[in-house]
Amino acid sequence: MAVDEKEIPIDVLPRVALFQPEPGPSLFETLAASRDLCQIVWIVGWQPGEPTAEVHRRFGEVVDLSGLSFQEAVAKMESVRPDGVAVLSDAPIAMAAAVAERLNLLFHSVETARLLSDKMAQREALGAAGLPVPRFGAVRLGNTDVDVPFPAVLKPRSGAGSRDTFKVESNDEVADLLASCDPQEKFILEEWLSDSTNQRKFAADLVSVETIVRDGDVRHLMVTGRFPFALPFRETGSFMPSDLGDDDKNAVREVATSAIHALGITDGIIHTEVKMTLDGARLVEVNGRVGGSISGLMTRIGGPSMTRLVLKVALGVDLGVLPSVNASSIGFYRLLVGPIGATKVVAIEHLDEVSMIPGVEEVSMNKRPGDEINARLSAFTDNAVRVDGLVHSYEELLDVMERIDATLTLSFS
Amino acid sequence: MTTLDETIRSVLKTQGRLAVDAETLGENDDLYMSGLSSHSSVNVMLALENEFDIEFPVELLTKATFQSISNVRATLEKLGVKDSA
Repeated sequence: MAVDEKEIPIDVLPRVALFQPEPGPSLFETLAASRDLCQIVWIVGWQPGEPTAEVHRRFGEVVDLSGLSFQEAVAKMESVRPDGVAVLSDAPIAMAAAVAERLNLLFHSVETARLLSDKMAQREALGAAGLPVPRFGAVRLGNTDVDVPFPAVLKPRSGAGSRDTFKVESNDEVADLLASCDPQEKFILEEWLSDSTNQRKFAADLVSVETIVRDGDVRHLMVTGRFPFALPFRETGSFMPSDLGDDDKNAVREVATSAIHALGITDGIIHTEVKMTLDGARLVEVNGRVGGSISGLMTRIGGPSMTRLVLKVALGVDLGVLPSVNASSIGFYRLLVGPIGATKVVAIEHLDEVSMIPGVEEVSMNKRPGDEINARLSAFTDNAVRVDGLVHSYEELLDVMERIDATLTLSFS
Repeated sequence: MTTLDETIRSVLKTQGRLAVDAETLGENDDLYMSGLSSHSSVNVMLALENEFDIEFPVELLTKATFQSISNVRATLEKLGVKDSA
């Protein structure tokens, strides 16, 4: 169902059912993104640990799905009859697609949602479409014998933020790791994509492409760079735009476009991860939602609010002319995490000094001394400190990263 | 009578989940650097609304509003809350 933004009366804004994750864009950011555009119907309780109804009632209509089966939850949301449905994370994509199908709303089809929610199914679909994908196979405790060469990457079939993701060298290692994971979780083992000859000091070979798709029309907004991963495979932050050259950026955009078409994506905000290898740009995975912290990076460099774009796409509103992004600025966020094996934060010192480093705009202490940490969780939820900022060259970016590392003192036990 | 400053610190103490004692914070100290999260800033907001029987308009629900005790105080005063100090 398409809604023309100009025809929306100010006092009767359309309603978008939003699965607000924790962590995710702050509730304040989502409210700001919805101003004069739509009312948010907060969908809560859709999985353990997600926000509860109590807080969200202050900010509008709430639909609490706690304790409901998938079908019951879909039926409950259908009865609410929103004008749009939107997600900000992977987990609720299948449910949102089911609701959208019943109400004829713009969202991923149920089949596309399945491919976006299961890394195994996604790779099968991409391979069937003729895209080069690493060799892969489903593994589980007791059955790790798949035709995948080592080194390989072990990861949950449904997961985000590099939770429980490991580079592995042998079947025995896979078996040991699976034995330490949730026995209900399904895993995929896939071929490790070799690094490129990247000599950059501050960037990983992995980049992401931020894309809007409307009516099958693919529009790439940005290529985003990543800081090197922390062991075993944890994200440590991103910077925007990526420092790749124009040819490489074009190559990763082409890979993203092919993958988006192969998965049948017609409408949505998409976050595609691509790795630069010795063999060129290779697809890692496609995510059917805005990337973690991408909205904040985009607005920091003068771009549009990705959260607002998510809501607009959900409503079918004309996106208009997107504000141009100031390419002379480089936004960044950096996640400081503990080492593997550490279980508790002992001390976090010199945050004040970090905040004084030119280019640093925000410093957030996300763990307190005494708090527990777990290297197997996503770094988005389990970082000790987050630093956000804006610089004007990649040399300055490297300098700021080095100064953060030299200044901040983190102790763990 | 409790001053505005004391009430803000009291709310931060119970709802802010700060790494430091709210009583020891300078009025311009960065609350996010002291452990305030986006989640706990919402709880602080709700507690302040309850305490002063006010409602924060959406345009004031920004990260900056809760950046420091002085920012919180300035916002509350803008909303008509008077300091008894």
